[in-house]
Amino acid sequence: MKTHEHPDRMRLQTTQALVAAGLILYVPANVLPVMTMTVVGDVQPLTVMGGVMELYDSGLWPLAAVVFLASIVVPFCKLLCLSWLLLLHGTTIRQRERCTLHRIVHTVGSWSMVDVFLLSILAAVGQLGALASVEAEPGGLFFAAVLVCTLFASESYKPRMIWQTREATAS
Amino acid sequence: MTQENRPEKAPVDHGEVVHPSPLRISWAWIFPVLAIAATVWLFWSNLASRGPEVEIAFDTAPGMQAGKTPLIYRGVTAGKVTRLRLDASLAKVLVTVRLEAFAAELAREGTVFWIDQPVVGIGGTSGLDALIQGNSLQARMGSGPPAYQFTGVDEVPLTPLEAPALTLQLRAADIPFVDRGSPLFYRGVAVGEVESKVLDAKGQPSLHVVIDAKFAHAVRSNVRFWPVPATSLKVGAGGVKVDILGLKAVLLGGIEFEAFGDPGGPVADGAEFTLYPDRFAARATGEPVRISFKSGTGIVAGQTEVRHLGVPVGFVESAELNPAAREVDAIVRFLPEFAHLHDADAIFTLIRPRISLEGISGLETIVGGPYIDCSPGGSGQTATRFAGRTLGNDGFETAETEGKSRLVIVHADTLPPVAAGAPVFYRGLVAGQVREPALGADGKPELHLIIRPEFARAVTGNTRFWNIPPASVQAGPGVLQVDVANLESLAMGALAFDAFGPAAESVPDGARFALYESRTAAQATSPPIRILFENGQGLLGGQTQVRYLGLPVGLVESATPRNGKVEAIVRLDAGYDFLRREGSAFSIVRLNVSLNGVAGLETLVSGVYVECVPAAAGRLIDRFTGVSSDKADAEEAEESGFEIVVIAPHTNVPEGAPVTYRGLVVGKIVRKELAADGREVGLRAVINEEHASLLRENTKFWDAGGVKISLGPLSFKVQTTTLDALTHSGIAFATPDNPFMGPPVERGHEFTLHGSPRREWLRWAPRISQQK
Repeated sequence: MKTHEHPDRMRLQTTQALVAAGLILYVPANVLPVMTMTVVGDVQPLTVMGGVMELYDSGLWPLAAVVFLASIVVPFCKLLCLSWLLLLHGTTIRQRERCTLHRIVHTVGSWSMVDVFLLSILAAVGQLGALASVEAEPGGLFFAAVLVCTLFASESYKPRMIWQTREATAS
Repeated sequence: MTQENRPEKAPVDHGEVVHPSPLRISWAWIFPVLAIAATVWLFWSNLASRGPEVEIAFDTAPGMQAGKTPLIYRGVTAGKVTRLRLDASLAKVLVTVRLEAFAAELAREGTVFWIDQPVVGIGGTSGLDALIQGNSLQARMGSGPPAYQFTGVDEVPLTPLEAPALTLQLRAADIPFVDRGSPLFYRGVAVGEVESKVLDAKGQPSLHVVIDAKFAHAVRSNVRFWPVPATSLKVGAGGVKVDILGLKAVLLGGIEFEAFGDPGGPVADGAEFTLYPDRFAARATGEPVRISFKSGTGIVAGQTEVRHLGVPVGFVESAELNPAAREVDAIVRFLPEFAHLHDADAIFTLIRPRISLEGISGLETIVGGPYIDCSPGGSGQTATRFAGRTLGNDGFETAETEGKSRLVIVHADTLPPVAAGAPVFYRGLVAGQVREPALGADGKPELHLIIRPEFARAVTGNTRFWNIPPASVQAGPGVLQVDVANLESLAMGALAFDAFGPAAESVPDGARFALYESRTAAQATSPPIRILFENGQGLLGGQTQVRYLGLPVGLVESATPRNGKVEAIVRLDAGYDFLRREGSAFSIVRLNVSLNGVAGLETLVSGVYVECVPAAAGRLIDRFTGVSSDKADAEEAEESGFEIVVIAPHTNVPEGAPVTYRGLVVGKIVRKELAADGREVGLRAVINEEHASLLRENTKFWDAGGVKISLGPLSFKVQTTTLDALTHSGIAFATPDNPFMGPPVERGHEFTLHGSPRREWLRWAPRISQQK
């Protein structure tokens, strides 16, 4: 019993810590440029939102929507969802929905690093000398850190913990 | 927590092993702490790397983009343009630049900002990287107190890394071919560049040059500047040397400087210097020496050199007109080491190219330009005023001959084309030179001749001057001689003189003589003879010769119409006065071509001439009536012949046509005239006296001219008289046989001209004794 209790408490704390770190890191991840694009001497530092705007300005609004969803909405939603899960931890409110939500977050999480992957590929391949180059910026690091935080947070928070009410623990 | 504590306390009660209290706080909290730390550090470092903001005003800011365009200092991004706006009057672009923290020092007074854009020029190509990366803002740090407002410059500074150590101002009368970026050489090392060409308030041009800091010490107060000729051509007896500096200098020119004289002190920034025309001029620093010349031809200020023994020792700084003395003053500066050469007794001679039959002198000046030769006197006392001499083609007097040679003035109605410097010959020797053409007081053109002293005696009262044509042709039967004078006379013309007639006294300086057109004209010294000719065709005053036995003995001086005739004034050479005896016959010999023969063929080349047949005796007269050669024949015949008249209503037979008897020419038609009533034509024919007896009352005349073609049933006969008659036509006559011939006719008897002979006329064969 105690041996069960202890890891769960630690898991909860770990999740809380990671979600907090993710929330903190989310700010620089979106403020700082994730990459610098140099096309024919035109140096353009791009934040995630800047990249979306760039795509939208270029008329590629479906792509802009996808990137916007995948890079801004989804990580933010994940953080929100995890925060919600943690807030309602130990209560019996909407335990079933929370279970579903956790499963969705977990599933989506396996795709969340696509952005970072894309960025790393771009930075590695997009080196055309003076003509064009793509360089990763610290913002990308923060962005990846946010994703890593959400990944591990959703991983450390087990679905069964949703069902562990304070009452249950006490009994 | 109370929930958790309770179970823990329970084991104590049950005597179980008490585990140390497990860690209450998860190690995972390190992540948020790290995240906060990283974020804070990031923002803080971002803030810390921001330097001050400066504002730069540009006239134009091509390619500037807010948030993108970097400020480059020594190749490193030292800031970024954050804002672009126009000032209130829309006259300037204000570029706001956020400097990096490390570049905060750039915000100083004196910092130069410019926009780096691609510039492709002959002086160099810069900003090529801007082609790819876009224009950037560049800066060169100043050294003043902190400042945050700047005015940008339009052009890239010549020294973009650091401010030049020295900016000098070079003054010159006119700026040579240099441009911004032209190199500045010191002993062959490029130590700076021309920054700008400016005109000051007075309109004086000057050059601003910048000297690189590391070479600033080379510029001392004693340096002198001169433009480097990109290419220089040196021609001398040793050969031709062509110097071509580097391509840049060829395209852009350059300035060179060197120190001369005393060591000199350091110069301050902005010092003023004089730009000398060339290196030589820069070296010549001696005191100005003034040399007066009669003519400034060939003296070029800043170029003409002064040479001593062929070595340049100075140069003409300027040439001034001295209206009072009607001279040109050359202001000459000597090289300091040759200053002793302009001593009080020094002789300065302007050397110009001179070509004469005696030789060519000053040939090097054809290429190198005239120079002033300096021969010092050695008195040791220097002077600064000299009277210069001239050696060259438009001034004959030289140091040796001046003052002793003789001036002679020749005049003519029309001067032959003789250039100044043309030689004057005396019996084939060059005796002098034509100095200058001038207009005399009487409005006649004159030539001033300088006769060398050794020939001065040859110019006497009976001397005659004539023009030597560059080329002459002498032709006679079997003789054709073409004389081409030497190249010099061909180019300049030439004169000659000689004395004719009795000896005369030598003449004073400045004597005046008439210029004759040729030697023949000059030779013909007799008093004029007037000859009246019926027809002056071919007579040329001054050219047509008078010949005696085929030899030229005189010249027709002029031919003028007078009373319907032509009066030729003829002068005979000395010694031919016997041709002027009363009764001498003068006739004009012209080319006469007929089928009987060609006469006067030589006149084809030589022109007509006047043939003189002197009378055996008689007194000398000076008026004659000339005879034309053909007329002479006719008159001769008229005098000696038996004259008759042949009447025809119409005839083509011309004057001079032959009169034939049995194909033998026995007479000639001398005149063709209309009969008094105008109905007929009278041919006045002269028959030789010896044949006059052939003419009888019944003699028949017919037109024998041309070709007679008779066409019979079986024959075709072409009949002509003489070949002469073929062209000239003519008349023939026949006299009937003895019983019918009739008595002899009187002079002036009139016959009738028939168109063609009857057959029996041709068979007539009278026996008539001929008078002998």
